[in-house]
Amino acid sequence: MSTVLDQRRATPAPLQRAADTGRSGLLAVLLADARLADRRLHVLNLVAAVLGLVVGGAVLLWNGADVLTAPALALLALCVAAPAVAKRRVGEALDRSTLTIALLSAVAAVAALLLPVWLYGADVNGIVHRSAITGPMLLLLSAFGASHGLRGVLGDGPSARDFATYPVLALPVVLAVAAYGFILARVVVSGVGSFDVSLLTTAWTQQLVETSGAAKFTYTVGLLNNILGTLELIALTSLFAILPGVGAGVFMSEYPGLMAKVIDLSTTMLRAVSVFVIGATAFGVVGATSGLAAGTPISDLVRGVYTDVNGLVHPGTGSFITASAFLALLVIPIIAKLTEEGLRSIPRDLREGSVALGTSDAYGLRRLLLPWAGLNIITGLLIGAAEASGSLAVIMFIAGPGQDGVAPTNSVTSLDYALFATQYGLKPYVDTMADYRFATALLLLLLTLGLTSVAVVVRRRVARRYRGSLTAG
Amino acid sequence: MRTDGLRVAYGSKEVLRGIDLPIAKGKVTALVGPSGCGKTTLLRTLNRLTDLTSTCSVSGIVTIDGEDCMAMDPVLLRRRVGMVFQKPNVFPMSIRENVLYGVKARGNGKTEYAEILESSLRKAVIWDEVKDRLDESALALSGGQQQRVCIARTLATSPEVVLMDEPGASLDPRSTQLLEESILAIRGDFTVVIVTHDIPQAHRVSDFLAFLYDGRVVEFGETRQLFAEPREHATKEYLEGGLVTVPPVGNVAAAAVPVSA
Ligand SMILES: Nc1ncnc2c1ncn2[C@@H]1O[C@H](COP(=O)(O)OP(=O)(O)O)[C@@H](O)[C@H]1O
Ligand SMILES: [Mg+2]
Repeated sequence: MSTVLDQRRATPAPLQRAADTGRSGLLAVLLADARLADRRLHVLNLVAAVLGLVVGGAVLLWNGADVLTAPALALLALCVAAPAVAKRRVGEALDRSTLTIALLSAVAAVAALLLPVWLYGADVNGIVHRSAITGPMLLLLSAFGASHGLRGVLGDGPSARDFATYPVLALPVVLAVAAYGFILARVVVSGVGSFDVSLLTTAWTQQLVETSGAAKFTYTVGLLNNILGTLELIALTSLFAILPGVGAGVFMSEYPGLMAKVIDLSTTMLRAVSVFVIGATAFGVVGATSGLAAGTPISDLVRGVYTDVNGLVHPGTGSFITASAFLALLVIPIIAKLTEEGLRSIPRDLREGSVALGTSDAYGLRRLLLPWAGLNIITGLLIGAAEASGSLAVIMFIAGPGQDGVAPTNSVTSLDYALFATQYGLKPYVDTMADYRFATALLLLLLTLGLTSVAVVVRRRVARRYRGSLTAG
Repeated sequence: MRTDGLRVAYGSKEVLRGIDLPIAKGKVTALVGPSGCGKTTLLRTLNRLTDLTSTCSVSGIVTIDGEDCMAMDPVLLRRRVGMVFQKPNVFPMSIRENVLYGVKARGNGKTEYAEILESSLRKAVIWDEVKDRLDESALALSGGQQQRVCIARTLATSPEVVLMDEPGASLDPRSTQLLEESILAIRGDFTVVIVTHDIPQAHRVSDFLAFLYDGRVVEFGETRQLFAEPREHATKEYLEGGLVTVPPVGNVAAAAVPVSA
């Protein structure tokens, strides 16, 4: 026995076998013995997959890299298949996932070669369109290939298997994060580049100046009113939405019945209504008061007022109050749903505890249920505020440059309106503010970020106050 | 308080089949019996928590000081008949707010709050443990302490009757002992109805004892009497070993009677 072992040690088996089969070179050695071959071939597999990921990424960013797609796919197919082939040689069964990945990669390689001719033609445009398909295809297959390779390298235990799924899970996340990063970087870089502190302190206005007999418009450039306007919209919208939202939530959770069903249905439908429809409705409501002159309470409330360059006051195209009232329609269902969820999450024995102390439903609601759901309500409010501040579609029908300041009955304006106006060339705004487009976007971004940070802090505070030191429920 | 011919059903399933039970004022009445015999249901009927269960239907008479409980405003009834639950259910707020929760609902004068707080925590035998941390969350307390805060919370509203549903079921021996101290401390000032599976405990704390089996009161009487010489074989078996091998004869026959009877 021992002599046999010694002998084996003296001449490594794979080499021995390679010699037997008359082959030479690394591949021959690797293919000759599955046990040794396995590991190295799996490493090769992993390398090919990583290469595929790199090429895939490059293809998405730069069309020129597209020529590498087919070779990368072919290499992936080969390297994924190699360990399986080696295993097969020593009589082990082929595993299906290996074959699937290898075959798909091979097919994809052929497709990558044929796609431009067949689908788009072989010219430059064809390649541009094509890389949008081949890039993700290569990335996806490489992710599966990497997962496969990792599993081979790490062995086939359960934890190794878990770890090996990582590339497949991570790829879409990485792509999404990269997309966010790209947008964020563009806004920050261009925004900081075009930023000017005076934007924060100056409101946009136009003046009529007479120079040598001819009247001419001059403009003061700034975003002060837009910033204040956005903040005001958020504040007023929250104000308008909180009571109906909480009330609807209480109805849905606490008073089941016809009324609750109607509310549930209407809030659900409200969620489904396009923001453009809400905006168009706002426009219609504003239009309905168009016969009224400035100074009429209804007109001032709905249309707001607007001072022209000659200092004359006109009815505007929609006040902050109108805009917020319609934005609130978007926020109410969010608050309602979250309030309902919060109330439903209250343990039954706490409700019974309250009732058993001889307290009325109203008291329980005020002292126990609503504070418990407070976290949810505040979350709803903040999510709603973020949603409202991003729902330009509602106010773009009725907003204007807003050079009159931000009293609730003034014509509405906001940061996202400024973005919209410059992007779509609305005069005279675009002539004066186009250079500050990214600065505007950056401000909007910072504002949202600020809101979110406040949300986090408030949530912590409230959580500590109502849930005590134990995390109940 | 007393019940006469009390029947309670969940849907078509009758759970209490005619309960006649006197509850002596200022005394401790213990309810014992195997799981599912209807003890919790009986307690919940006494302060109309059964109103919260839509499938639950109640018939028969329940009175407090001769007044019909079923005809009262349930909120007012519950102010007179408080309840401590099986699992401690303190509210997610400070100890102080927990104890004053029911008190504040009645709009008593603010001046009395401090006094009520201390006296009810004392009666629940937890004052010394929490007097320096009244504004901390009640959730930070141990299970045993939480249960005693629940008792204090109920006592604070000065009900006439205190219902306790296996209040010691989830507690350690030391907490159970404090709980019993508390029950003995309030005896006389409050009428107590306690459900317990702990038979020695029932022996220790109660003046009267009712043995329930399958929705009926098999035997009721003074605790000492029932332990000394039970009339029914099933009662004797249950009090000695917590088990009933031969069901009480009267009830087997009664169980066969249709629900509508
Ligand atoms: N909400 C309910 N719906 C239907 N059946 C119930 C409900 N609550 C209790 N029951 C039933 O009523 C019977 C008595 O329950 P319960 O009063 O909790 O007994 P105990 O407290 O003595 O263990 C049991 O059979 C139980 O299944
Ligand atoms: Mg029970």
